Amino acid sequence: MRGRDILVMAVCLAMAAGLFWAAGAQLDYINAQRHQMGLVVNEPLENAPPSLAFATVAMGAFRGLVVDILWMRADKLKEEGQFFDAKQLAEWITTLQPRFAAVWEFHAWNMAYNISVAIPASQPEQRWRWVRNGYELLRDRGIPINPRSVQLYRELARIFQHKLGGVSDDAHKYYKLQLAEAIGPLLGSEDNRLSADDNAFYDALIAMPTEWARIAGDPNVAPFIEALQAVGEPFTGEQKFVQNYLALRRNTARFPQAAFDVVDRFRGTAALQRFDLFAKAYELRNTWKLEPVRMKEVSREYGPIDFSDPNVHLPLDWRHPDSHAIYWALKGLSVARENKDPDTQRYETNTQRIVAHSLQNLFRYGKIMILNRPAEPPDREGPPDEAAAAIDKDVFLGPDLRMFSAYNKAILGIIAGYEDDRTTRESLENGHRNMLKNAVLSFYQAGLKGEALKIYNQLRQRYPMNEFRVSLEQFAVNRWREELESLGIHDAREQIAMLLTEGYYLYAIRDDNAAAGREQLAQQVYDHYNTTNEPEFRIDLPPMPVLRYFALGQFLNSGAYPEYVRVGLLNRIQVEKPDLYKQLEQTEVQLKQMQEQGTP
Amino acid sequence: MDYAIETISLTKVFSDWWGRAKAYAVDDLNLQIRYNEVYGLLGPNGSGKTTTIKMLLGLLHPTKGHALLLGGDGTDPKINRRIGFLPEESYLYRFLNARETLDFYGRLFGLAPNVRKMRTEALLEMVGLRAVASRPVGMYSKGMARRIGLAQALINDPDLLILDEPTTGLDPIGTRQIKDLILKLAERGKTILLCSHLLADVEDVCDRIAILYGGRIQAEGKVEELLQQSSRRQIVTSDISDEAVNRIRGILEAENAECEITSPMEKLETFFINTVVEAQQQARPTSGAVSTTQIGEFLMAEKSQAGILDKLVSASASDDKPVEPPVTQRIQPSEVPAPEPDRNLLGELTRSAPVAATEQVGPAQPSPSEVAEPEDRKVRQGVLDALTGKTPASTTDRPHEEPKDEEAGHG
Amino acid sequence: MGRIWAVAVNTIRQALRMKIAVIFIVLLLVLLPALGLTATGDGTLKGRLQTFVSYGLSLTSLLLCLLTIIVSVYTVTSDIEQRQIYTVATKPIRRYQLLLGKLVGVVVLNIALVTLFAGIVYGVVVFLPGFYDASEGTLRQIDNEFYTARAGLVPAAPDVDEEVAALYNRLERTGQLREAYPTLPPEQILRELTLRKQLEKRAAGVGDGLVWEFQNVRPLDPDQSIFIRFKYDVAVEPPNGLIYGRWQIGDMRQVRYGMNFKTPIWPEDRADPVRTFREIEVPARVIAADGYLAVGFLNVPANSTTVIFPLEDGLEILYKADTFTSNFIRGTLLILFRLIFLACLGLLAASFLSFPVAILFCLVIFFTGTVSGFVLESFEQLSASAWQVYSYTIGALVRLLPQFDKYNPTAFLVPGRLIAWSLLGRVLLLMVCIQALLLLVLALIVFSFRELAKIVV
Repeated sequence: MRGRDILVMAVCLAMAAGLFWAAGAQLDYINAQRHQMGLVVNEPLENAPPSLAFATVAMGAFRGLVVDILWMRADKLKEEGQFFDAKQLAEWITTLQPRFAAVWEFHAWNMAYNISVAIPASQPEQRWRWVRNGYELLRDRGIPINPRSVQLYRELARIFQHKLGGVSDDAHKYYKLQLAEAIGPLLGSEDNRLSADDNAFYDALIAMPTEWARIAGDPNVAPFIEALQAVGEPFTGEQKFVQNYLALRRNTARFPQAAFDVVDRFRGTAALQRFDLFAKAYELRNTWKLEPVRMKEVSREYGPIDFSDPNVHLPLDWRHPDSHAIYWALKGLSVARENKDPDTQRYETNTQRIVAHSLQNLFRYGKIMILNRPAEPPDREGPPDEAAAAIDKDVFLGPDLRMFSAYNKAILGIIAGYEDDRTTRESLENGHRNMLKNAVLSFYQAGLKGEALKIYNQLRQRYPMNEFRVSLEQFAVNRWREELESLGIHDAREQIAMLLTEGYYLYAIRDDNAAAGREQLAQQVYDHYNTTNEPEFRIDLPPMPVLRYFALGQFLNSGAYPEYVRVGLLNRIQVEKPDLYKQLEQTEVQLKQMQEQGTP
Repeated sequence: MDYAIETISLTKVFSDWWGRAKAYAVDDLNLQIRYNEVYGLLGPNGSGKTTTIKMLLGLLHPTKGHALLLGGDGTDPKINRRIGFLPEESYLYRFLNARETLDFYGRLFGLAPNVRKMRTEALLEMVGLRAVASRPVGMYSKGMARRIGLAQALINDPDLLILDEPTTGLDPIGTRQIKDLILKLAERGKTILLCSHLLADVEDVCDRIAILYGGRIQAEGKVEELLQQSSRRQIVTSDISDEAVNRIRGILEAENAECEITSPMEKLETFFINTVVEAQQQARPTSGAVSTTQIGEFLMAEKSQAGILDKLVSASASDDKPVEPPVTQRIQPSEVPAPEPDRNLLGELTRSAPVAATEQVGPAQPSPSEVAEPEDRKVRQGVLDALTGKTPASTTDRPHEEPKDEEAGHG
Repeated sequence: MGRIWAVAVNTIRQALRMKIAVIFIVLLLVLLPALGLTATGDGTLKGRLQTFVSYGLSLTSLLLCLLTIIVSVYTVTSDIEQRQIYTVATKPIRRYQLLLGKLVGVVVLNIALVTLFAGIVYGVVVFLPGFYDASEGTLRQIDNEFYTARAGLVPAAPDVDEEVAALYNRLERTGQLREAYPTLPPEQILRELTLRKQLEKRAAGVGDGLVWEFQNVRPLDPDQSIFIRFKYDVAVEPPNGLIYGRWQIGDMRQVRYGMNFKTPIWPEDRADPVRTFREIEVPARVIAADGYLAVGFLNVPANSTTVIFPLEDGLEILYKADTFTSNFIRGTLLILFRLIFLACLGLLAASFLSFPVAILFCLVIFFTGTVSGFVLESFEQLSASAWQVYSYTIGALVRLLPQFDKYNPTAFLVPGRLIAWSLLGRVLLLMVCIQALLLLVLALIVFSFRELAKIVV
């Protein structure tokens, strides 16, 4: 018995030793695989708030398991269409795996896209809330924790560009409005001396100190700060002070009268001006995570050009989401370059594309016009501020032709990258050509004939084709007719009427230059039809004033435009152009007579 | 049918993992224990005593053979109802207090609530734990736990009492109590199976003993028969003069017999108890087992009260047959008038239930002891009342060594 | 029986005095209100309520399940290991009565605790809106979507047997069967064809429409809303991810037979993303007096692709069939059934295993039951051969276990769906009457025949 026991034990020991050795021999291979697949993510967090660091460490080996469980739950809920838990789960997951960039990316995308879309378009505030959750997750938490992760910058840029800047979402106008309303007040100095279109404004922002201590110690500004602090709550602390100051300047009603008095007292003084600039720079930097220095650089590279001096780039309109998209895409690229990331080449190409797309958006819809809508009784429920904003304002988007230069340059840059790839280059060039053609028409329509000519010349030079042999005017008319015919509109009257209607609309929203351009083009089309040599195209057209009247009526009765806009136009005409108004009245009388007489 | 406990070729083999026999804990055991007998099962550690008991009660399955308890199977509830079992350690629920413990076990027996309550109080009084009745049992000392264990073994007034190492861990006073209790119960006609390896205790109480070793009975028989040294004689006298002693010595020397003349030794136990009692009359009692003083009183009070008790019992037992178990020699306590209050108490206790039923003793004759049927209340109460509070911690001891002046010593 | 009850009371006392139950109770008493305060969900009131119900009930269920396992195992194993069973089993009580007594004790304790904590959750859920100044609209929305028990009506699966048979015969005649399905046995081919035909009945091409008819729609409250819950599936992704649909909900017979309109027909034009569940809220007045309701969908030309409604969950009518309170009570009962099962499981494990092993055993079964749905689903992700192996071995075992996650009350209470009496009955039958009873009987048998004493040589 004893001998047998000894034998059994010996065999077991030998086997154990053998297995241990075999396991140990595998270890190197396993480690290599781990590294290759990027599975080791248990690095400690530096600079993290204690609670976050604790949460990531406390679970030890179970952290991955818990994250998996949470993720599966999020997925399951999403499939069932339940989103009440999504934000909480996203927060937990990102808390537990903060260094895993894909986690941030996925959840930001999930919130901004899937969840927001699941909410009916009749509740834009809810949608906006989720879109905001998405990009704020990345911008305010994901990127500060993972500043070296390029994909997060790209995703952030994409959300701004595609979700906010694009037009595919039914509520995209609401998003743009909210963004504009949020950041608008920060752009431009308080005494309106420096507007957001002025590069000097950004220089002034850059000149301001970055830390509170410096500004508080500035003898020029200190009196104002102290005076406001003396008012007491809520003007205490640093960030709180700044934010409340900015809120005070926007809407005095929410603050004690004493605060307003302080501002009044300091109105026009250097102290107020300087502090105002400091506050705005501070807010941009800390809340929007936009660094004024970089903003200026981006604007200098890609900003709209001043037509009077084509070498000068004006600042980008930072109310527009695509400006943010460009900012973040470029920041991602610079990070990639700093990282000496092996994929930097690919990032550069991608960034180029993103920037080009954003520039296209800025070109096509970059002009933001916000009108106050007369108040309606609120029938929707949402957070008070946003609901109020939704009720009071409407946003209208129009092309920003100043962006053309930057946009064109970007496209050309991309085409240059495909020197050797003939098929791609050709298709790109086709697109470019169409773009230029449309641009010529747009500039012409907008009344910027000089610019239109420049582009037309570019077109002729680069793509020598027959259709570009004609004069600029002829070309514009041809283009316009082509566009309308492609929509199926062949009737001359309708074509002219459309131009005129658009013109009236632009008048109504106070884009007078563009309106004038439309009218001019309308006149040219009219002339073209009246004087054409091709008999089959000659059409009997009523006199221009009648067409104007007809178009005006079309505009005023069109349901495509909000009522107050249309009414606004009438009021405007009455006020600004009383003779036109009279003319219209006369024409109305004339038409009535004609009707009674039986002529159409 | 003949025997209270009978085992037939009872064997228990403990095998190891592979099914091979490792040890014979109990090897072909044939026990026969008669009714109304105090039987001692002795043996060194690991001789199979506890294993036998466990097999009797169904806690272990015998490998071979079988065991009969009161004519039936040890797991049958009908049989269990008449058995009281005190395991080697008092395995009690630590979170219950004494009262709740007894109440719980009482419920398991199916006793009616008022009976339970009465017996619980009576038993607590008897084992002297009434003062600490509300303390969780987990906080008891070993002796106190043992007492409660004993109480739960008695709560159903069993016919058969199986005690496994009853006196282990008790101080001499407690041991004395238990022994007296056993004797008293035997007097009442109970059968008691005792397991122990404290030989002195067993010697005093048992009628028959068996010595177990290696799972087999090595020796069995009545105590005196086994222990008697038939080749010698002992003569105990009262105080005599030295001259008488010399004369006796001369006679014996004439017979060519060896003789040794000394003063007989008092038992250490008795001496101990007396000393402690005296000391306690002067100082405060120790905590917990308050019973120390009480028992002392019992011991002292016994003589005056015993008469009442026995009277009562014999009165309630409308038997014509004298309660004379053949094996034991009991010393009839002298009759002493009881103090007034006690009779009232006793009367109160006995008033509620008619103590009418017959108390039949299991004699050595081969007739089964008939228990009074489900009318537990009537019979048992009476008998138990007799046991309560005035438990004759009887100094009536086993035979001969006890000098008769013992009785006159206290009071 | 008095004995069983005595053991039960003793078991409850043990659980409370040995602090096992007390720890869990305190834990729950602390965590539940904390959860109530911090549950934000997505910030809306409805989200808060949903989050609290979801996490509150889950936490209660989890902790009580653990408590049940621990108590039911401990009460038996401690008796055996600390040998109190010697004095108990030798009393006139049969072994099965002993075990039953312990079961009764555990179950009574569970009933008390479940009532207590579910009551707390219920109280918080009912009174939470009072703490938030919610507008009329929000309150109405919550009433419709949360404080309710909505039953779902699914359109009957279309009967396509004849068509399938005809198709099958045609394919066979023309010899295309061999080409199309070379490797499949005939039954499977039939199944594939049936599936295809059924899907056809649920697909609408561009410009086409579909109509579903439902009978016996009986909402509890005619002033509330019913919901049409649907999910689009498409072959080609629409460019902006949205499908435009025109819905008409009401008594179509009025249109068909040109009758006067007694009940309104509700029109709705909407755009919805694909592959997500959406709900159309329709006032309950559209239902005809005899319980008839028709739902019509038109795939408007603005779309460029065919729209398909998946067979299982593509379309469903939800209408309030019961009150929130009674639904909640049924949910609580579901939790209780779970606990009863676990108690029996614990007793079985304890009847022949030592404490740590029994606990481990029970925990493994509990967690497997909790994730059983996920495990079974995950098998589908494996390759076909692996799927076969796993499905027949582990899958079979997993299916035998109670599917805790399938009958999870929070899955019903959160979206405001009805826990039907029939569901409750099914769970009762399956989990308690069959599985738990089986375990209990096994436990009784094992316990009755085992040796209670330890082996000491």
